[in-house]
Amino acid sequence: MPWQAAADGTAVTALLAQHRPLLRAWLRLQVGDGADLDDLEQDVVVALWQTAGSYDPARPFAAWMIGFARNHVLRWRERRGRERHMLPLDHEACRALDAAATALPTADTLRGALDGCLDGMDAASAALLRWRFADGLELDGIAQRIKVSVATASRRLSRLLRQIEACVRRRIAERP
Amino acid sequence: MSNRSPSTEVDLDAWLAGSDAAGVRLGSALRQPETAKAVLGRLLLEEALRVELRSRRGPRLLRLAVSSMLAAGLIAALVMAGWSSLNAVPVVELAGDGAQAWRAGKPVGGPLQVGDEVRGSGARIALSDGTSIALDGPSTVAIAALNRSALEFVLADGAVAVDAAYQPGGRELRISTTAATVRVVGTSFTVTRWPGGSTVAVTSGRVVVEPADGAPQRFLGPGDSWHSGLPRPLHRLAEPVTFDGIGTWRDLGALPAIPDGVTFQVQARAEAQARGTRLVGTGNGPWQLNISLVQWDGNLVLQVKQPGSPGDAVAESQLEARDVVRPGSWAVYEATITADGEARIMRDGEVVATGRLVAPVHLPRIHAWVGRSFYDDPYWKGEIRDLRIYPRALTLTESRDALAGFASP
Repeated sequence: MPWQAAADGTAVTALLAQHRPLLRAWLRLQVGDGADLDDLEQDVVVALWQTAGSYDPARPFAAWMIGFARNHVLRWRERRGRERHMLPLDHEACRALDAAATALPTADTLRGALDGCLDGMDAASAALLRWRFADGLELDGIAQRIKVSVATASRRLSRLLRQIEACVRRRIAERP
Repeated sequence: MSNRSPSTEVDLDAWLAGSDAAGVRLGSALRQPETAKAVLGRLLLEEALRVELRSRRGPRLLRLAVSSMLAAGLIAALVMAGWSSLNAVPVVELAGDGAQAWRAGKPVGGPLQVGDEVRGSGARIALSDGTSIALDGPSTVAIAALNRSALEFVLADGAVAVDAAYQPGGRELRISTTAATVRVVGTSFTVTRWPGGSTVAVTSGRVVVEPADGAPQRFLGPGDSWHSGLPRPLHRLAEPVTFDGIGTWRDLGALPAIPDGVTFQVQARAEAQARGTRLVGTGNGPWQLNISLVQWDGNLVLQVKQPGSPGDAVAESQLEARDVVRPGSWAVYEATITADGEARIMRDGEVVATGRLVAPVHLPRIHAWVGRSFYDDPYWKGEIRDLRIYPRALTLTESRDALAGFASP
């Protein structure tokens, strides 16, 4: 069945919306924070749409999506050559990441849990998160704002992320 | 999402920042399933934070206010208040001059809502997520959806140039016309709608076009375009104009190369029988690539005059439709000629003449004149309500479809 078939296309569009943050996270891990990340993400999304008809709903969508993403990353690596870095992963690491991708919560679940965790946060932490993730400020910019070293800013941010992770885990586990 | 060691965390940050050495260490650590889950989980959390915090962000004015109050030590109250009260979807406002937003028939200012309509030219619909929808010429845009799963704008008429910001997972930006819905992947593109047709042209990034008639979706990348229905008229005279037969005429401007032929459509009422008066014609001057629609008594003539082959100074040929112009009666006349010279004249949707003429030279033409010729012919006398010049020969079906776009006189 061609990807354009309305039913499949619609279903895959919805699944993709749910898993897009995971796709971006996975791609970021593979290629880092370089300028190619957005292009690569778009290429994978388009490829997924184009081949939506080949998706078997009995299979986990995340695994199917990551399979596509892996092929695109390999081709990107071939095109870009060795000057572009790519995470060196052997078969074992790839398998571990595939398993992790299918076990992680979807975007809706995560955002639902995040809502509660962010709403109860102190103002300084909230500002730190906002500068980093909403405004896209680098660590050195944040360090300047709060007048500490880059290493200290990094530690504060890491500690904050761990707290949020713990909160999110707890809220997901408590869900009925 | 589970625990990870501090060294893995450091390596992850260093790898993302570009350190190959950290990447080697991280790649090795990811063989452990728990580490793989923890690392991917953290990146997923960061992505979710990025989406969530950007969606909570208010309009720029408010963010500036937050920055200035930080120095005064008033952050706590404002941030906490902001997090609970800011819209989860972008704020939509009208920016620039030349357009007005309307709500239930009354002009409104401030943030726009679902159901509001923006009419005008030159203004911009600005979303607080950075998306911009610029009205390109006289246009009408209605807001159909603003929620966490969709931002939808309906182009009722005119054209928009869209510069779309990245949309978070679970939310779609859509631009619709009656002919299609454009789903945005993250990109810059234009959508144009006019009576009988639509077009989508992508500047950068990618979009998915879903035709309303159930035809397969189309994926468009940079430089691609999609068309539905009729092509957009290159020139249009959309207001009633009375031509007095003495000195009234219009120049609609230049015509680019016409590798696909040309079509004239004109809704007109001739006031009198006349000889050699031009309803509409294009060219660069006398005998210079002229293609004209001429009234000659009650006949309508499609005429091609252009430089001929060597030894043949002028190539001239014409197609005549007899007894189709009735003074005092409104009619929609159409003349079309393909690149090969296949010509057709229609009156109110009926073919009244066909034939082969000199194939028109593809070169650009400087003028498109209405009501007068490039020669010493008398000016045309009558009234024109609507005139369209298409930069290609319309098919018979397209020509008849186009008739629906002409208002009753």
